Amino acid sequence: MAKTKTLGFWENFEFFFLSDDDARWKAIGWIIAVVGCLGSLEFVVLSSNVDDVILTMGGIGMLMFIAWITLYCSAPRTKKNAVPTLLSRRGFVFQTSAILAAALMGIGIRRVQAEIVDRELEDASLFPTKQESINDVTAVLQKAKATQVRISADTTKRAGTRFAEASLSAPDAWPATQALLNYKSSLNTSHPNPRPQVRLPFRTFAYYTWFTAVPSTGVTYALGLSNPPDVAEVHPLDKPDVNVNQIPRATFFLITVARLKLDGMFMKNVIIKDSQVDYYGGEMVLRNVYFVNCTFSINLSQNGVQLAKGMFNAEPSITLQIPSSAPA
Amino acid sequence: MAGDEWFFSELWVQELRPWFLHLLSDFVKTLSILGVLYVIWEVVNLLRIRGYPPDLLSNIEKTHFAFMWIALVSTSFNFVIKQVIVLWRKRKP
Repeated sequence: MAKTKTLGFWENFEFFFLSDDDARWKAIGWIIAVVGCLGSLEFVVLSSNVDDVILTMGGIGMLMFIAWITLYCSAPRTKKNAVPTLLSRRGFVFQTSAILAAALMGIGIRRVQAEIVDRELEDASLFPTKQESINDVTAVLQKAKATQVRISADTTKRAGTRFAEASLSAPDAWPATQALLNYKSSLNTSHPNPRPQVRLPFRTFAYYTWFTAVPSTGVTYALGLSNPPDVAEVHPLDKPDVNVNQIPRATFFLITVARLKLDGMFMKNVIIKDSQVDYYGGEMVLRNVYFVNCTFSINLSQNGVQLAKGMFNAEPSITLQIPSSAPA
Repeated sequence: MAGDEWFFSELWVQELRPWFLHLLSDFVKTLSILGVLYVIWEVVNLLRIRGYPPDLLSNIEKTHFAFMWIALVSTSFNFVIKQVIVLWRKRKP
């Protein structure tokens, strides 16, 4: 009778990792359950800091792994009963269904979150002159940012327009209007992105004339190449565009991480991104201007309200002219 | 041409198919665990939106973090160590 050969430690080790799916995933499952529970206890009950919790979990996980491997590899196993186990078709279907169910459930919950936040913002904006509504709007926007839930552009537009209009009679509503403007701007993720893209060397380039018009130019790029009139322009209203003789010219200017004052400026085909935008109610002309993830500091005035309403209605670029004769 | 077909068929049957089946098996199980963690994450967000107490949510988040951390570490370790063992086996005389 032939003698059955027993597998050695390293053969068992190889078998565990390369062939015995059931045993390996059983070990992974137990390690996740035990280490997860102990880590949670340390984190929640003992209020330890993250580094300590990670160190403890790593240590316990490693110990469990070594113990599991030692026990598994020490068990007598012959080549005959060391049969590789793989995912069965039934198991595959079951687990794939579980993944799909989890994905659908997650997407469903995300939609429910968006609907709740939308409804809360809509409700809070019904009475924009009430202090309670103003507080509610701020709370809803904070919640939306914290949970990364996207409030619909339509709801933001409706709520923002209501608060902007109410601000002239109830100035307390103005901070909520600006908070909504900031949020609306954070939703504007898409903007034209033509190529080539060249970072502008302001000091040696004719474009620099508007360099002095803003407190901080940040980093500016010229995007694309076009012939007039489809070209980017940024200059003070009382000064001519010195780039007028250049052909071709940039289709868009992309101004990032800057601090800009809109008063007295002419801007055409401009994308202002990740910047602080100030407006004190003066004359200005905006043509096809995108505000992407900007924060606004706008003085409450008739012109400020007009700018805010224009921004709420921007789809997604804004075209707006505020003449000097308009009441400030 | 016939030689090429034989080579690719041999490569698929002996090398790629077992490797692919193992990878698929691990991938599906890993994704199942990550799927559950994702659902829990969204549920915590939903509870926050519904106005549940921040302390409670913070504790749930900590628990979620602990499970997520060990799940990611153990499943990544599983993928890596399998490849290491396969390479080590091939280098053995």
